[in-house]
Amino acid sequence: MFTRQRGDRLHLAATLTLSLALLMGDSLQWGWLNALKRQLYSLVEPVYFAIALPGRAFDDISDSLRLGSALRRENANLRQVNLVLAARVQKLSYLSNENARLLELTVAAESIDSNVFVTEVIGVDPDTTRHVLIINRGSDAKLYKGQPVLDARGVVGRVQFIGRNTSRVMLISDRQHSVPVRINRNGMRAILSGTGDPDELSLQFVPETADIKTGDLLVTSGLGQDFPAGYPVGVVKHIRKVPGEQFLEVTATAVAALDRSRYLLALFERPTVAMPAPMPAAAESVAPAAPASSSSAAPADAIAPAVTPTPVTVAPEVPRG
Amino acid sequence: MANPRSPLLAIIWSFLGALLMSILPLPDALQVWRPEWVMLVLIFWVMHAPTWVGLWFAFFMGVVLDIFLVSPFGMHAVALIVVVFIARMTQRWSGIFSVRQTTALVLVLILSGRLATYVVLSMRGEGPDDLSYFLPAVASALIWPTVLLSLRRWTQR
Repeated sequence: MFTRQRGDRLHLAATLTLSLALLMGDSLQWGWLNALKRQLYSLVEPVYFAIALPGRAFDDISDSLRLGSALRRENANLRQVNLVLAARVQKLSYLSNENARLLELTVAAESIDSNVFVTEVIGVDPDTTRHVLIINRGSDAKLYKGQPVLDARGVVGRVQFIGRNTSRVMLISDRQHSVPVRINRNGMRAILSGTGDPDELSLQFVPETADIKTGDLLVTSGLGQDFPAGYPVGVVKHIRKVPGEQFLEVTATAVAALDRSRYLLALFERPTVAMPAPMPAAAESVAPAAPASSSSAAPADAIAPAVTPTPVTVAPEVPRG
Repeated sequence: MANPRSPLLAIIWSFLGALLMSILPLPDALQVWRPEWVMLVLIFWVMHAPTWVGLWFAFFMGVVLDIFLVSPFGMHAVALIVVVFIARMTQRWSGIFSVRQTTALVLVLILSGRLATYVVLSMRGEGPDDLSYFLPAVASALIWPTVLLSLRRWTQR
């Protein structure tokens, strides 16, 4: 058809222009191109399910082959764990109610029983430069792009690409991933970024004078667009002062089992940081008027100090669970 | 398909196999060594059925691969087009090359394809930070004789 060199040049120009146009459209996030890509992806989705089949079948068989005594033992174990967790939730819901009362915020009460959706990991992205998992739910289950994903211990990552029945979760260890966090002990804020190494996350923008120790727990601060506040992300592993640098070099390990979790929780909860902001302003506007009537001065005083200590008193209970 | 000499069926099956191989889960240690299966099969067909497989076919396969791997749309298309263009320029020699010489050629071809994706990723600010990104080129060159011999036997049947 086009074996001649001259014809080749022409076709080269045509195909290259076309694919460069596609690339440009992809980085500019053209709407119709994204829609087209998603449509085409949902066509190839079944292949990912088919590839995951042998491994899942193996898991199912080993589950059903397990001996009765082992199952009974595991069942008893799980029952105990469940009991402990239920007791802890009771305490937590009490604390969160108290917190809500103190802050006079109704949103805090909802955060304990937030809506989650259990998904199963069916694959890993073959590209080694990216840390991406494939899970078995997509837009049909109302998952959305940017949605936070957790496992039993902590934050795993966020949904990066949605198909119809599968979606791709970018892990917190991916180099493109960052989470706004704060140190649970003192509420200091920083940003936790992936480094491409699954065992090492890097905590950025920690000033040299900051109060930070190894073993400090990092929880989501709720300041970004995707992650609601209060979910554990990592533990500080190593702190190094670099001479002449403005910031400390801090590494952390993920709390979640990034490479072992089989079931993940897609979290249907948006961050609600915008809510507490008007509170102090409202308290201030009440305070000048307060001396006139002594009855309204008391609640204003009660609210104002409660704003600062609450994150410290309530939050430590959450990650231990 | 009616024509017994027509390689269409072989082309389709080999590309389906290559696509599958490029998303099949591998043990972590082997993950960085995954050969560029689609590129390998494409190079083979450019050498052995140049009237069937050309630049537009490379573009098509690149788009399919981009969808399979959810890579930036058009990235693999660029890489495959570059590879096919160079392969077609060197095609007149590949007929008289020995297997060892084509292996060297394949190494160069896949390195250039890998370089193309590297450049695209870097321009998007997602550039890989170590040279293990080019290991698949070595792996592909090592597996090339096997691909060549098995596919060649298939076409001659």
